[in-house]
Amino acid sequence: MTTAGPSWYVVQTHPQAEANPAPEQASPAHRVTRIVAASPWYETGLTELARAYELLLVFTWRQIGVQYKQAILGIGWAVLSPLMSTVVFTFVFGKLAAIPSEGLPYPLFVLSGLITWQYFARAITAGSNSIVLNAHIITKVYFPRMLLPLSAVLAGLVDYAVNLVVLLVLMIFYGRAPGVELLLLPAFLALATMIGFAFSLWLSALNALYRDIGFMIPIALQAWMFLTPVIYPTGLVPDGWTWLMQANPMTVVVQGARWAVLPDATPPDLLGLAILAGEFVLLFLGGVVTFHKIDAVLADRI
Amino acid sequence: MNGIAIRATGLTKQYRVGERRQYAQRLSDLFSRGRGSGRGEEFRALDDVSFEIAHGEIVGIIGGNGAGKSTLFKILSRVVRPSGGSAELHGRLASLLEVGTGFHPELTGRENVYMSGIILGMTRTEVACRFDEIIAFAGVERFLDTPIKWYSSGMQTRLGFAVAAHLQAEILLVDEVLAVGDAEFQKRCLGKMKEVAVGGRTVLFVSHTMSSVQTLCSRAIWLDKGRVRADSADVRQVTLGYLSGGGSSENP
Repeated sequence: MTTAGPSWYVVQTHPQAEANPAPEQASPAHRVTRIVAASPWYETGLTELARAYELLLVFTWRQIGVQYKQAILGIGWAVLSPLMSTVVFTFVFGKLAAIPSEGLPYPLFVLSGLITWQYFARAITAGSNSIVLNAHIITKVYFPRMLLPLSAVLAGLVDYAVNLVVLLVLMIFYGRAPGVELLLLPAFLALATMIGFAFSLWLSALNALYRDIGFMIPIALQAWMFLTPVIYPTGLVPDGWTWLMQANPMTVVVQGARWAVLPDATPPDLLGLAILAGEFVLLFLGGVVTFHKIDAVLADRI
Repeated sequence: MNGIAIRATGLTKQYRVGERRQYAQRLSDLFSRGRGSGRGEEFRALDDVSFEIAHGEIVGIIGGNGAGKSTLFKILSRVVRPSGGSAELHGRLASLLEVGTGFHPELTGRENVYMSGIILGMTRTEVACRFDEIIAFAGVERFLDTPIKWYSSGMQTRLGFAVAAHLQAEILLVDEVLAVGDAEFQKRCLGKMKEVAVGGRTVLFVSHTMSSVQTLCSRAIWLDKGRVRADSADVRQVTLGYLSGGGSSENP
């Protein structure tokens, strides 16, 4: 690293000129870009919205399009993978350990939690790898780098949608129907997305400098899943440990998404939601600042 | 065709030439404050570079390896940041530092044209408008819906150059290595560059081939050890100077 955090700063004087369909004919400046040695942390480049939006689509599409290439089952893996886990968890935790499931059939209970968790885990995994995997683009062309973790997180929604269909089919099999609570499902998904993105800001940037992050994530996610009420209900947690459940932002997300689909399940805890909101704000702001700092040296050090 | 397109003022890029650290050192670096200070030697890839380029100028950037040409391009295209100084760009800038930026081997030719075009700074509509032209230029019409990993490397290169050549930007940074492929395609690439140049756009052209600098450029900037050694509209003079006395930065 060199002296004081060098960076650049973009001023768009005539943003409307972006839409000019024939820029090659008009040589006067449409906009002025200033490249200097410092920019404030909130300068993300995402304000160049028209371009940022198209790029976000491109990166998301790329992620989705590539995912199941050269696999015969393709998107079928998004059906099989949660089903397999459900079968195993039902046998081990539902049958052998006889863990209660809030009056729901255990497979429904576990699958409804699992798909939310897996969406989140995919978001973190893909998000944290997004910078490293696209190093070859980062070192060649400028674009708002935050689009990489964001698109990696969003791309996981496709798998989630397939998983959700599997869950709905299983619900038909067990004769369960969702209620009006289903309308709240997108809200809980949005929470999972936001938390996943906030973590990805930290992890993708840090992973670019310290690849240790990449080794750490699968271990951390595995532990985290067992600390989240995916395979067991919160009712099973002894009183002395409820603080741990409440401190975990994913508790209320997994619970909420399960309750939105299966209204017989425990509704999300309001105190947990408030804690989540606070945690998100800290995590997100810290993530933006960290990402911005590392972004300044990214192409030099990746 | 006047007005400034690029104004560089005292652009400087400093690197620290560091050796790879030992495991224990790396761990202790992590926990010590002000880490990285005092180790390694400082090295200026660019040292106080200033120039102004007007709209419509075709400027050849010459200099030996390590003279700072790529660093200059990377700063102007905002890939890396300067350590000091500033630059001002008037208009949209596209940089062609390699062929096929943003290509993904698993995706089809069609998908990759859109992806690469948008990543390099075009809008979706602009790519759509030029799509047939790009494909025709690359000559891959029959393989549009084939993943490009099954293209020959020549086909991939041609497709990459075709996208780059059709970028819509007022300022273009072009690296000569782009003109690749067989002799016939090379000729078409250089022809395309000339066409771009005549179109009134501002072009910065890095090259080691003095003859193409002399035919294409209206001005030459000679970089040597990160500094501007010569900058003149007398392209012949600058290139001759470089050929005779230059190369000093090739053996540091």
